Amino acid sequence: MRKRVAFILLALCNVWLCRAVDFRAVGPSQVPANQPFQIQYIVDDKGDDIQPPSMPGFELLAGPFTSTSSSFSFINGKRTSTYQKTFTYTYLVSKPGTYTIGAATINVGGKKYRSNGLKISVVREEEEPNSRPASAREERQERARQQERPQEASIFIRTILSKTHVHEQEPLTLSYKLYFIGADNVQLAGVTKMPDFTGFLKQENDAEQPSAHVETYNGRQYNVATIYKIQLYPQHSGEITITPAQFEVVYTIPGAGQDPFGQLYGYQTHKTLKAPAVTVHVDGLPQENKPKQFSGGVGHFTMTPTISGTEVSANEPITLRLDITGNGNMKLLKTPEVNWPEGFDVYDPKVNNSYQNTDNGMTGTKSIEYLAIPREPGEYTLPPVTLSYYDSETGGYRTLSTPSYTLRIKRAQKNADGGQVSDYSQEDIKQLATDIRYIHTDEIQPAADGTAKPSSIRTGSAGWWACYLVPLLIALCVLIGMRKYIRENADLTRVRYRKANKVARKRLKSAKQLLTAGQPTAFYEEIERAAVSYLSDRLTIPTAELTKDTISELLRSRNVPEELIQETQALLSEAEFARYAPSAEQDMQTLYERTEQLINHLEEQKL
Amino acid sequence: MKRILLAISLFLCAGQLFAQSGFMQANNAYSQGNYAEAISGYEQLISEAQAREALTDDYAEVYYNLGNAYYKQGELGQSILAYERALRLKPRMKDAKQNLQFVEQRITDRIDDTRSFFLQDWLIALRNQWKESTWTWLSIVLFTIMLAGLLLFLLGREATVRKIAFHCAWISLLLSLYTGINAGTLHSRDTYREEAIIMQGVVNAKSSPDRSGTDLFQLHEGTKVRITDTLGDWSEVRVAQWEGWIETRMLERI
Repeated sequence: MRKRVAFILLALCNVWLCRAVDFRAVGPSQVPANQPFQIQYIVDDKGDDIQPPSMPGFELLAGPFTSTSSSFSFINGKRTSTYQKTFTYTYLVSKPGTYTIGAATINVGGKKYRSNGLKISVVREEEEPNSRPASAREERQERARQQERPQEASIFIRTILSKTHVHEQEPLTLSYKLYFIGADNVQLAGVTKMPDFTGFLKQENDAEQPSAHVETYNGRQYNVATIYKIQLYPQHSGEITITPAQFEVVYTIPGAGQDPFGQLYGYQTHKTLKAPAVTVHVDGLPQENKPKQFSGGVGHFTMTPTISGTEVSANEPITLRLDITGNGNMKLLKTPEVNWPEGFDVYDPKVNNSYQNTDNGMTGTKSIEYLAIPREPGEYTLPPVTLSYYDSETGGYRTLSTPSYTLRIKRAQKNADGGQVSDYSQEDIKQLATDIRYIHTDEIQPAADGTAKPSSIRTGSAGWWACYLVPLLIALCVLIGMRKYIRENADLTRVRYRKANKVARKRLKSAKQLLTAGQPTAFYEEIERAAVSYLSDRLTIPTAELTKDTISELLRSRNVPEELIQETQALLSEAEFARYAPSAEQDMQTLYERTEQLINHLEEQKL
Repeated sequence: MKRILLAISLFLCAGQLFAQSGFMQANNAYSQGNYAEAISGYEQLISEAQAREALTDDYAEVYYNLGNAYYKQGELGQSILAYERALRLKPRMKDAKQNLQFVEQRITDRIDDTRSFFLQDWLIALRNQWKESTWTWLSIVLFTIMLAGLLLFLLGREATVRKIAFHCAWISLLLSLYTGINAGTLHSRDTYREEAIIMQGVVNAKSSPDRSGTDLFQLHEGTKVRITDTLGDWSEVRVAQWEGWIETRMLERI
């Protein structure tokens, strides 16, 4: 009995639930004329045999498309289920005005239900509806509306260049855009091929996250998603072709199939899409008026110099800061060179880049800080720092320049403790460069006609022969004229000089014979002659001129020791004296030995 | 009327002045960086002097400036030739030597004669210190000293005097011979003009005096060569240990 009661209660409950069928109509409140729009009827139970109201002025384009969704959930052991069936109609209204749509009917479990009515105002085509579909649901509806238009799925990729004619180094943006229509759940499955962008410097954009939007292309409305975007800086002139790219996409074609229960379902497929190749025409930068110190920059820049100070003490650093602001290929901009005067210790510049990669190239600021420390006091000129770039806005070269600074460097202050600056190292002269010496600018004196300088004497010329032969002839004449004298001179002096010792020895030898033979007079004579002739020959003076005085004089002039001179004198006078007054035989023997010794000693003197 | 005459005479005077200082004009062109004009100015001065046979030592300055102008124009071969010619006129011209050395460092060929001996190099350098006539005069003076010494030796009475005179005589005889040989060498160099500079950018030296000859070695502009023989349009040249035939038009004799 109890069981039966419970069953009845449950059945009653079920009937009560059945009564709560919700059937409603949803549609936009305002639509433009001649634009398709959707009206949906949603029922939360299994219903069929829907009867839309009669709608004069409404043209049914498509429908009803049916879709169902259901979900079950258990909360605290309680089972709740939701079920929804949607019937979608696509209409088009050509005449503006306000329309009231009556209720539709539906049959749910044998019972008829009525929906709510709708009021739609149709505005002129040009006028945008005042309020766009705002709610997420309505947006979903709009997308569904797109999909439900009677057209086949179309999906492709376009290669889009921001510019096709550019200058060298001028940035351009390449994007691959995926166009699709009549496809759902489009997903990029992979990149099979990517061009290598030869001839370009590439820079990935750090711009916003790509998002899908609607775009009209070839008269049809497509959903468009940018799948890849890159910034390119052409590196050389000419026509540069970017090879095709290949992408793999996976997508669903809605309503492509029907399940065994009569339900429409999406059909997933994948496709390899090829992005067409494109060609960029790159113009070289004009060669004319190209500045020597062209930095390679293309775009539009401004430069702001800041110097820390122009009047500092030696050993205090000077900072020159250049802020280059603008738009262009900032990355490739060369750091301008600063020609610090001699006597400055120069450090590598510090570069701080803060720029963003945008569709127009890099935009931002490049700050360069140059640091130099003057070492010597004085007044120096820092020449202007220049930056030349190609202005892509005006189409010409522009040179930015800082002013020329006059740097007054004061003598370094001595250390506070009165100490000296310790750095007194001497430096070699620094060679900066080598070059040829400058031309001579003193005026020259062009010679009169045919007057070579008299000093120029040519080998083999008559003058040349004369110069050698004349002195030779003179010399020969002298020799011939004085040949007798020369012969005598040569005999008397040279030969006798050489033979002096020999002759003296010969004389001494014969003197010895005379001594043993016992002829004292002849002996003394021989001894005297030996000594006299030796001296005469050695001192190269004739015997006739040989007196005692001249002998000692000449010997003295030849640095002969005094005792030897005395001995010579003594010997000569003794020999002379003994000649006329002969003495004992013993004396003769000693005289002979003395004479021999004297000649030996004189020989040692090398007169 | 007087004024006109005055004007005309002034004009003539000015004209004469300008004509005289063709050198100054060329120098001005050089200092303004107009090297082509300077070159033609110097060349004209030289050809005029050559026509008058009055190429004095002063023209060394013209050749020197011409060498500078050619260097500034990037014509290294012509520049070297001009410096060499300047040094022929004034062998001890410091600036010309300096610039010649400088430009020679910038040419392609680096001649490294492995066979040369330092003493030989030194003797050649010494020989190139003076001109032929200087050496000749030196030789003549030494020859005369030798004769005087000889006479003094023969006629002298004093042994020391004779000794000194004798040594003096033989030393000056040797020196006179050496200086005379130097003078003769320079004379033959200036007469036969055997040294030449390559004027063409690149020249291939061939094994025989015709175009079909085998290429033996390559020479570049500015290299100094010695011409050992000529046959028709061809010259046999020698550089260090290399010998080969080159078309004469590629060379310019110093």
